[in-house]
Amino acid sequence: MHKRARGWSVWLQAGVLLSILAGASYWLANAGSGSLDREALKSAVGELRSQAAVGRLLAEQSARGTLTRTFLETQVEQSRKNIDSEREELKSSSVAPEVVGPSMRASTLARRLDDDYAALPRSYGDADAASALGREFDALFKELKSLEGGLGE
Amino acid sequence: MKKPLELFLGILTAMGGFVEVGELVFSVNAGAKFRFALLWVLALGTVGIIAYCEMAGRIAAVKAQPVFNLVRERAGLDAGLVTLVAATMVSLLTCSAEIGGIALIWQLLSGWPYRWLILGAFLLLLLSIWVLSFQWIERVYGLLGLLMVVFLLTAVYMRPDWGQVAWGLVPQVPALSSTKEYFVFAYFAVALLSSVMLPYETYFYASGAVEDGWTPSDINLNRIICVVGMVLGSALAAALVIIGAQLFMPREIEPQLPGAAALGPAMLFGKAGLVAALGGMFFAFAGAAIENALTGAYNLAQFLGWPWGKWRPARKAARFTLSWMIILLLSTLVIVTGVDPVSVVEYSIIFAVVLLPFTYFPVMLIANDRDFMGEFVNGRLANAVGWFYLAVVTLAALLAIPLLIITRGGQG
Amino acid sequence: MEDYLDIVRKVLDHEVVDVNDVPCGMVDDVELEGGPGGELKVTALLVGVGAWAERLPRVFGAAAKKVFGGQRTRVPWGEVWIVGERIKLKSRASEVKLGHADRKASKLVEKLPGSG
Repeated sequence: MHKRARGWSVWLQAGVLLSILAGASYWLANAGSGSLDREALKSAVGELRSQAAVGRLLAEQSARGTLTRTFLETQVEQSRKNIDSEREELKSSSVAPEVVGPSMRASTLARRLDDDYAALPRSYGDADAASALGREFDALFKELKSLEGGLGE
Repeated sequence: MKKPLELFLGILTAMGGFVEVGELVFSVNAGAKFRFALLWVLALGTVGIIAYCEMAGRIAAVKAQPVFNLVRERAGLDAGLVTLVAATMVSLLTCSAEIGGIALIWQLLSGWPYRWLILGAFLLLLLSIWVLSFQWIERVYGLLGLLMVVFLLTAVYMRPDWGQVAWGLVPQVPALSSTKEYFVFAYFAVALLSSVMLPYETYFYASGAVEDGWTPSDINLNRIICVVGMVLGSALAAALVIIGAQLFMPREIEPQLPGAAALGPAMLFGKAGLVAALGGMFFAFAGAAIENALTGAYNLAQFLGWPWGKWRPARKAARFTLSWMIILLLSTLVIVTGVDPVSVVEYSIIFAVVLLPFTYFPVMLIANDRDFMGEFVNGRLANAVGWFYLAVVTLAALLAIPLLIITRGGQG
Repeated sequence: MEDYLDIVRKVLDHEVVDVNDVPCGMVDDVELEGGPGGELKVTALLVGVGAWAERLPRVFGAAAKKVFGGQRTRVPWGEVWIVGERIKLKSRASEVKLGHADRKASKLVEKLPGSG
């Protein structure tokens, strides 16, 4: 057995274990009390903002005819699943008092986002309808973005 | 003449097999979040994987022995066993991630239900490994993975500022808006490095060299394939970063799903581009899934002294055969539970980087051992590069899990 | 022929292959005869979970034996032909009672079509 290899790998294993423990204790120390605080809300709104931008892009591409119907439908389905999980997060946990207002606004916007996504497959093949949806997504995007910005650092 | 053809195929296979689901997701996101500022990490990782695959390939060519046989001899039983268990779990997790990725891609192409597609993927992969020889597996999945070239074309046609792209190759940390953002940058740097230097690549490459029956005369072939193939492969990964930067960043999208990457080719080349992109992704992910299942089996067999290899008839390498089948099955079970495939991807990448130093250290020791390797021992360059990267991956391994936890998986 | 053999570096944890170059295990432990101060002789190779589990820290060794069984095969040193990259034996695996698990597993694999 290679003595040098032995000693080195023992130290490495110890180092890795220690870093795991350090990370885990940091996580435990900072784990939310299950409530939706400013940071968590900002992260959720950011995710919704990204999804709105994706919707806008999908509408754009659908209008130009570069996507297959199946691709569009499946992307919509996958995106709506993501939106749903964000909506669950906005609803379920107890909300920190200073962000009650913004969280309700976020819920409303999320519902509109979901509706617009649902309409996307129906607009396939209709360039005008898709463009109109694109503008709706854009409006939602701007609102979500300003909401996200308002939640500050 | 056999050798030029083998060289050509080897390079194309290495290129087509370079990208897998973790690399795709992290590359596109790296571009979307940080523009070109992480390209240097890609380049860093590429040189590293070239160095270690070259060493592992050289060892296999000279000694007709792949990595895990030698891990036990060199690192000892205890450390070797820890590495074996960790490597098997990482391969399992990575295989799960790839299968999830395949199902997502198929769903985008066909619209069929996700869970049925997972089972379909399992059956296809099982049959592929069972029926095809090692060489044909590499050819089919490696060469068809070259459909990914559509991403390369997309990146070029998007006309990025090539000066900025080149600047991205210089090691840097961009000016960011908050401490949190710096942690996220570090997280992406570690993840991207890991996705390029995934441990299974070294194991698989060495075992493959034995499967292909390489001898010392194949050492130069090995070098050329490593360098050219992987540089071309990393160009594909760089193209994904560029697409992230040009398509998603201006629109403020953080793409969560692998399928989103196909929007780039769709935008530029229409439906043909879309289908080519999805097809390329399928072959790349499937190839990676197969390689991980086989790697898990190779590692077990080599550590425990079982007969192994696709060149042996299945019944003569029975435990090896059952191993890769069971790994495929377990990977499928993990993903069919409905767990978010992108989360599986993320965890597979992070746990892989923790495994990297354990993988590379024995390789370095062996390639460096003059008594063992004779005239084919590491030269000064190989040594310098090898030790440098061992330090790099050790640092990455120590930082990986804390960063995963602090940044909550890159969310910030 | 060297006048000494480094058992730890050249024998232990190396692959064992039979006369047909088929892998049939690893040298999981080495059996020695004799005591401190006297002549020490290598009498056998020990192959199997039962052998390497003994070398692990107690807890892990016990766990390994529980999960994988305590199987251990003794290969007399006289069976060893070449000590090289691999430890090559003079006979076939079955003749020295090695490779048993693979033969059992191959009965399962044989049932599948195209198993060669």
